[in-house]
Amino acid sequence: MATKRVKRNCGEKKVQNEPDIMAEDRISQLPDSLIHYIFSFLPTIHLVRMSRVSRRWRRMWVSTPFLYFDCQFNDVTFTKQVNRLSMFLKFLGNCLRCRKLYMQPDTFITSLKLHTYYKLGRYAAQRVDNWVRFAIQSKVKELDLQVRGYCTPPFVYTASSLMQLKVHMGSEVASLSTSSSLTHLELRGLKLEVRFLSKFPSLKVLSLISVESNYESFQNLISGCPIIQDLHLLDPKEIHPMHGYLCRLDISNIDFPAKTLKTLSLFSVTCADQRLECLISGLPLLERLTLICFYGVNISILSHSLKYLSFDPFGDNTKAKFVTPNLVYLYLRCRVSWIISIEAPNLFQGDLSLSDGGYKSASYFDLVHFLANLNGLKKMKLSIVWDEDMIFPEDIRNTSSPPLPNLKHLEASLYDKHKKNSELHEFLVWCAPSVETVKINGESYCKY
Amino acid sequence: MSEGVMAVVKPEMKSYIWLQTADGSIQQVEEEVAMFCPMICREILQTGMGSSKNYAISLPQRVNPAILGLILDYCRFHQVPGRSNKERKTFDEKFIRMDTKRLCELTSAADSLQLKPLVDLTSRALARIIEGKTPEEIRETFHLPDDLTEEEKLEPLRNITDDPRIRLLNRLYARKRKELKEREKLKNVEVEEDRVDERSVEDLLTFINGGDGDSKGVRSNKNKKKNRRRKDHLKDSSSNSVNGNHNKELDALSSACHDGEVNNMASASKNSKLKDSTSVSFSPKLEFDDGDMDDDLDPAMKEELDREVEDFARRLNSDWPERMQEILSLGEGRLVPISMNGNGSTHRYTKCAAAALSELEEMRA
Repeated sequence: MATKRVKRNCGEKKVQNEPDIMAEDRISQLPDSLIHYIFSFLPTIHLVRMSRVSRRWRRMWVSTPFLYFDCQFNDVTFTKQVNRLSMFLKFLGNCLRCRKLYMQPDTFITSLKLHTYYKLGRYAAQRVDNWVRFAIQSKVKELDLQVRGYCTPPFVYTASSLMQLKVHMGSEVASLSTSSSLTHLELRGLKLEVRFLSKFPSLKVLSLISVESNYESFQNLISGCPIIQDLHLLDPKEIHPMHGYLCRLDISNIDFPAKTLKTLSLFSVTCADQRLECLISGLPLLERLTLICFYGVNISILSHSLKYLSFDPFGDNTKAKFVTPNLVYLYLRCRVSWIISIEAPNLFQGDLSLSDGGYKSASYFDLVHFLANLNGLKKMKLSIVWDEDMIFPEDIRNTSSPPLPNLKHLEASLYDKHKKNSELHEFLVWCAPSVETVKINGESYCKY
Repeated sequence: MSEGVMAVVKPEMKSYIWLQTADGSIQQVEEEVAMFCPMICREILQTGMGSSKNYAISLPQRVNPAILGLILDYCRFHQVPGRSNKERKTFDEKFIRMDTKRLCELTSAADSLQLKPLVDLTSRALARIIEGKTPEEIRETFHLPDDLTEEEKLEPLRNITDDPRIRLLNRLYARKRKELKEREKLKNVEVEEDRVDERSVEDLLTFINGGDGDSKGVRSNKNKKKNRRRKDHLKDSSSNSVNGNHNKELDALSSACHDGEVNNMASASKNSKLKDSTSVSFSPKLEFDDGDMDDDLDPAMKEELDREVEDFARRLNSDWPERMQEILSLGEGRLVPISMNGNGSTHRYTKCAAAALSELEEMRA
């Protein structure tokens, strides 16, 4: 029975036998730690199967310091959710019990990941608490709890060995306080509360995604991170102080004391214009900036250090100006008329997704002017809701100079794919006289 | 950035670093490409080696010239600062397409050079390869020695897969699954919706991080394997609960039905269950390779086994003791299909026990 093949759902083909007779065992040359690392990408339950492969792998599922418990049951048909959850919990419990059985008592766990979409009852939550406590006692470094409705116990936040913490989908308030070892923190889909004077001296990467909180907590958290390098505020919601409803976070009054920021991402955030300008100019090490669904009217980005910029604002009357001498990569998704000027002489690549607002509000000159801003560009991907009227007629072409003289590679994709491409091609070649490769909607056009 | 280390060069001239692999051959490589690799970078900055052929940097033993070529291709692409995340991902996906032997060598070499992004990339690829395979296939793919004795291989399953009823059970489960897929899809809608809500922010994250798409991709491939895993696990975990409730169930069962058949079945299953209980003590190792296999049993035996299996299956999800009391107090004899694992079933069953069980299911549904 052990040798019989099983009909598989996944349809994966049997690997062809390698032709060489001297079949060499390559994976055994990898050290244990590397094999554990490879295994860490798979849920532990897959590894149980590995115990039948070879002697070396026999106890790998027990000795691996990466524990990953996932409970996706997409192909299995059960009517009751509680069955799945209790199966999941039973397996987890048994796994940890086995671990205690087989391993030395002081073995470390490097990472524990629990992913379940099924809501835990009180009893189950207590068991999870115990397991998390066990992991922390085993000096876990990375904890990833994506357990719906689970309230992370407070001892997690103060665990001394914990370096990376990810909590998704908690239902109750996550209350953060000082943690000296945490380097990566990702909170998603929960309510946050941060006490005054909380310190996170080692925190380098902070991601708050769909987090609800009040203004003070956000400020406390951001002020408490002196060496932060990556900050992602994606869809943060603030409880309006007066009215009590949730609204978009306004970071105008939030102070960012740490000047070590290298990456900043703001999604669905508002900020007063002057404040944004101050903020960005005041970050001397900022290399990557992403502003998406950003509300602003006169946006001006001045930064010497900025290398990568992604800009996708939201609004009707936005105007933007970039003074970024070292910018290497630009992603723009906006209307042509919104960009006043871009000063980026070293720009290497741009991904532009342009629309004219649907009211033909952009004139030809706007477009030329806009493209001329990018005249240092070597490589561009242009994705446009293009109207044929946007293609300049001959006379205008004769009076203007080609806006993109240095462009070498151009890829354009049009929203409406049925339009004739040849005219567009001609126009693009005029825009970029020294272009070497042109692709329109995935088809390459030979220049000559 | 790195220009200070090497001698001042004219803008047209590139500076090269010399690298020596374990077999003695020496290669030269553009400086910025070599600097992308932390170990080489450190060697250059700390010891000043690599500037000429005589002072080539020796690479760790696990790096051979062919693999070094691949690694340098990787470095050459990624060290260019202006590339978008999408481009890098596309390159990575193409880059990783090679046979497994090469992939293992590459992982090993990247690890010794401490090139973490490449280690991640190759490890994920190897994990994806391992994911969908049976142990035999894995052994074949990686040419691992088959050095476990038969006993050892079966150790976790020894007392489970030997049991023909469990095999029958597997088949029943498999059939059940196919029958009830539609019903399940309806009930799953609620669960699915919650996941859909997070989509937009997921996309954004992928966009920002550029690399997160990978982890999700790995996850989605696991679904089909989860199928078997979960089925197995369920059986296993349930068999645990079976043993606990063992005696009580049988007593209750025999008192509920005066059918001689049932009594026989009960006692027969009791015997074999007792034999099993000791071995199913801890249950995390789950494997049933032969879910779809046909057993060579004569029909009579098969029938009896079928009945035993049904009984066994019924217990898998029921909170037998409490429910039994409720059922006994109702005591009607309707013939409604029983379910296994809470799903509807159209299997044969003995009348009395079935009737009792039908009540149970109605209450649970």
